[in-house]
Parts: sequence; C-alpha cells; structure tokens
Amino acid sequence: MPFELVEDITSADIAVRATGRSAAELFVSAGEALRAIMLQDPRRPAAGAEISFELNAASIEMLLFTFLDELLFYKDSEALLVSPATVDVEEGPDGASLQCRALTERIDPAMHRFIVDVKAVTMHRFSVRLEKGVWTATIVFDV
Amino acid sequence: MKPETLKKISDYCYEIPKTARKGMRVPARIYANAELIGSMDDAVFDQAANVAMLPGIRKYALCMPDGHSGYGFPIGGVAAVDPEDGGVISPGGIGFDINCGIRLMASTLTLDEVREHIQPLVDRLFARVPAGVGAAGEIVLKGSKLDEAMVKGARWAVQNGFGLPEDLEYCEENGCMEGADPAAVSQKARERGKSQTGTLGSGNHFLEIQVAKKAGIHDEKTARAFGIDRDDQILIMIHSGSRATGHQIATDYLQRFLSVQQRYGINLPDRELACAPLYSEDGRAYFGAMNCAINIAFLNRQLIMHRVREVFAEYFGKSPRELGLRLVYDVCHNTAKLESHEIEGKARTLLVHRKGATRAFAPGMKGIPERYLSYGQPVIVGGSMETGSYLCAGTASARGSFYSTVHGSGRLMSRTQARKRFNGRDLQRSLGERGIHIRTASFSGLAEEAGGAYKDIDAVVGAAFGAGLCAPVARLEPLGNVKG
Repeated sequence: MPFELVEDITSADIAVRATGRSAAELFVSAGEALRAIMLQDPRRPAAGAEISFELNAASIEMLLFTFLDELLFYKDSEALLVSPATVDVEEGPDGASLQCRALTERIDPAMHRFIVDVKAVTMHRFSVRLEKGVWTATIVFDV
Repeated sequence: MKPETLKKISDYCYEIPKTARKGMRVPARIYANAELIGSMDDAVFDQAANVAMLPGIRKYALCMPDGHSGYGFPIGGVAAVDPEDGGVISPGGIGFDINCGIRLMASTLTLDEVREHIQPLVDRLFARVPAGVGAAGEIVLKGSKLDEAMVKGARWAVQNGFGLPEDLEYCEENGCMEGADPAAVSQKARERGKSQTGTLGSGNHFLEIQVAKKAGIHDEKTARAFGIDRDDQILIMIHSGSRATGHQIATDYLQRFLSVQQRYGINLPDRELACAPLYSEDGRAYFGAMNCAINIAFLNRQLIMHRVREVFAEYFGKSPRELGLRLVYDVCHNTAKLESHEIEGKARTLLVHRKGATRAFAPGMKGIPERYLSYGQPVIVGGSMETGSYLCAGTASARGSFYSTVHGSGRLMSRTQARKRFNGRDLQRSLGERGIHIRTASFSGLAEEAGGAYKDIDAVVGAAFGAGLCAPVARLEPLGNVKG
C-alpha cells in the first residue's frame, strides 16, 4: 500500500504515511495520498494535459515538502489537479532536486467530488526516513 | 504529557508548571472545566508546553476552553511575546489560514417573515457565493490592484462599491490592518490566491442564516446595543479567511524560518513552531506579509457579505437598508497583533499570537467601536450547523488571557472518525426535518462538520464565562447553512 491514513496524530487535520521502494516512488505515493484525501473518487485522471517541473531543496525531506506545496499551488492558482507520473529525485552534497512529469485535469465540480480541501503541508511530525530499503514519509496536511 | 500532571488553579483554569519540561520559559495555562480538560487530547498539553518555550514569551502560554490539538500551537492557543526582549513571530502560532475569522450581520427580519423562505434563500446563497474547491470569485486580483487590496483590506472593497462606509467601523482594525507590506509577499502567494477573493472555501467555513430567540438572550441590554433588538431576529454569520493567499504566505515563511532560525539561536521541539525575532529582517518580513493576508481575509468576508446583501435584497424586493442588513462585527481568530498589555505594572507592547482564539477587548478599551464602548467588544463564537453559535462580549476579567477567548466549539472527533460515524446526505435530511436547510459542495465534508464531531458549545461558552474570558450575550440558532 503506497499510503495510509494515520489516526492518532491530529484531530482537526489529516495525517498520512506514504511509502516507496525508492525516493521517486515515495514522491509519487505522497502525491497520490494528497489526491486521495481530497477526492471522494481518486481515480487516475483519464487524459489530462501533461506538465513538467523541476524543484530544488536543501534536503530530501524539504524537497518532499516543496513538491507537495507545488501540487497545492497548481490546485489553487490554475484549478488543476496534478497527478505525478514520474519523479526523478537526485541527492547531492548541496541538497536534493527533482524533475517531475505529471498529468493534469481541470477541477470540475460536476465530476470531482471533494471530501476536503488541503490548505497546506505542515511541518508537524513531518519526516522522511529510509529503513531497510523502504522510504517512508509522515505528513500532516492542514485542511 | 498526561492531564494528571496538571495543577488545578481554579474550577476553570489548570496549569502545566514551568518545571514540567526542560526549556519552558513560563508555565502553560489551560482554561477549561474538568470535563472539557478530560475531552482534550494529550497533544494539547504537549503543544501548550512547547509554546511556553518561545523566546520572549510573557506570563503564560495559554489554551482556550475550545482547545484541541493542532500543529505548532494547539488550536485555541494564545501567546504574547515581548519583541523588545527577543520576542518571536511564528507562523505556527497563527495558522495557515491567516485571519480566518467570523462576521455577523443583523437584519430587521424576524423568524415569522423568513420561515417559509429559508430553503430558497439558502439555495440562492449557495448559487451566488462561490464555495468549495476550485470555486473562483468574481474579482481577479493581480499586480498593483492586488497590492492595493493587500494594504487596504475591507476598505478596498468599500471604495470599489462592495459595501457601506459604516461597515468598516464594525471590523477589528476597521477592516484594514496597518503594517501590510506587499513587497514581502512572494509571486507564488500572489498567483495562488488571485481568483479566490470573495469565495467561502471549504472545511469548517460556512455561511449561515440564524435566529436569536428570546430564550437565547443572556444579556438583553448588551444584545440591544449590538443590534439584536427584537424577538426571533434573523442574523447571518460568515466564517472564512484569507484563502490560498494566506496559505501560501504562511508556507513560504515557515520554510524561510526553518532555514534561518538557528542563526538566531532558536531551537524548539516542533518544527511547526519555526520562528524569528519580530525585530529582525526575517521577522519584519513575515509580519508585513501576514498583515497583507489579514487584509485579504477582511476583504474576502466583506465581498461575501456584499453578495449576501444582494441576495436578500433581490429575494425580498427591498434594499439592504430596508432589510436592516447591518454588520454587527467582524472578528479575527488566526492572527498575531501588536497590542498594549500590562506586565508587572507597566504597559508593554506585546505581539499577541492567537490561533483559533478571539480577541475580546473589555469595555472602554481602545479599538472597540464607539457604539459598543461601554459593553465590550463583540465576540462571535461559531458553532456547528446543528447546535448553534454565540454572540458574546469582552470583559475586564480577561486581562490574564491578554483579552482572548474562544473562537468556536472545538473539535472532539477527528475528521476520519466523523466520516465513519456520520453520513453527509443523512445529516442533510435529518437537519432538514428539524427545519435547518443545508446546501454543501461536499457531502463527505458535511459529515466531518456534524454537530457530534464538536464539543458542546454551551459547555465551551460556559467555561469561557466561568473563566472570565467573555460573557455570553445571545445564543444563535441555525436555520440554513451553506457549507464549502
């Protein structure tokens, strides 16, 4: 399972634990988790326009934070739901970077039934860990 | 931290001693009765203790009776810091929805006049006030127009025909927070919120038609002063914030503070408490940007109220003035403001963080509209769509809380627990049978906001009164609700 809800972290907001066998998989899982907590029916988009973007951060943890914030930015600024298809993550001595290719779909109230809107990614209990070959992130979204 | 470690100060106040955890600079105090304390999750006490570690904090880290766990501060958290003594500003002490707040509008209509019209009125409000994810407002704010709006707040709306000049008198800060600095707002924040001004949002944001019944009036004289002057009077409550502009400003500065706080020698146990001294380049920049978001929220609620006036005027074929659609007051509950408070007998300018807490100035204090000066600041406490809300007044006895009080009922259940327990469509139906008409952009979201997911608002307001934080004036019952 690429992500699960975590019940005991927050009452007003929503916490998830996302996993992947690589950093790239983890980022895709976290993107799927964001979509799944917002939408009643989080099926993959049929055939939206493709976008790509690049991001840099001081660490892989902050890169995930920035990545999720970028998905929220598209939701609010362009009314686009972004589903990452591939994420290439690189770590180096000066930090971490990614290249993301994603499918998009325009928010349509007739088609998309929202459970909640996510306002932000919080740093509360935010973590990215690599243990025994599995990448795990704990994320609390402000809703 | 377990509640058993709390020291009882009074029936409505419990303390976490300064010695409870290394790094606490002051004790933490939770205002609540024993039952409410028992209903709070343990994280509330941990988070209150963490807040007590903020550099420059004065007297106590506080939590109001509607408190529940959040991130950084608990929801209901209040902390006053002295900027002259390294006092910090923290986005986690304000929340991502900067200046989330409530405004209450009175009318001269009575229940008998609207009872048969609630459903069509709610349907029209739902159609005319954009709500839910992806909804866009009628005004797109960009470039210099956005700069002007971020500086002027609700005043921008009134100057552009969206309201009456007298509306401004009945907002905290007259709907226009000083110290807004648009240059401190990122391009990303400008872009992200450009279409959302004048939209309700989602989650616990709402627009509600309410009635003040005679039996719910606690203080007739003050109610009359605030504009509730007839039996079964109709009021309209609006709960919304700064939308995506505020969310992005908070996110931007959370990241910035995380990267610079060590430079200021700050090391706190929760990264959501990332902060910088107010009187530093970083702190001043966030303060300027946050004030822009405060103004965007004032503007947002003003635009929504204008739309509500239009809907009522069109429906009843009378002008808003003929319908007596007058703003009672607009309160903020996610802010940090510079205010004068007495510390050890001396007046000090403190930065008061309130996260899910309402300013509640006492009678006679500067900042209250002239008309209300001898009654105290109106405090609007938003409850659930099932159980009702309150109009309260600030009291002199709230000095110990830096004149702060509750903002709502406070969550009891997590969102997922609420969704398992309640069904949105069933809830809409059962409320309809009770005469409460609901329209929503999300039935799952509606289930999360069920009355049973929240604490008992009568108990919360009762505890706030018992603690001397504010005094109830009128209980407001829901008739119709638009949920984002």
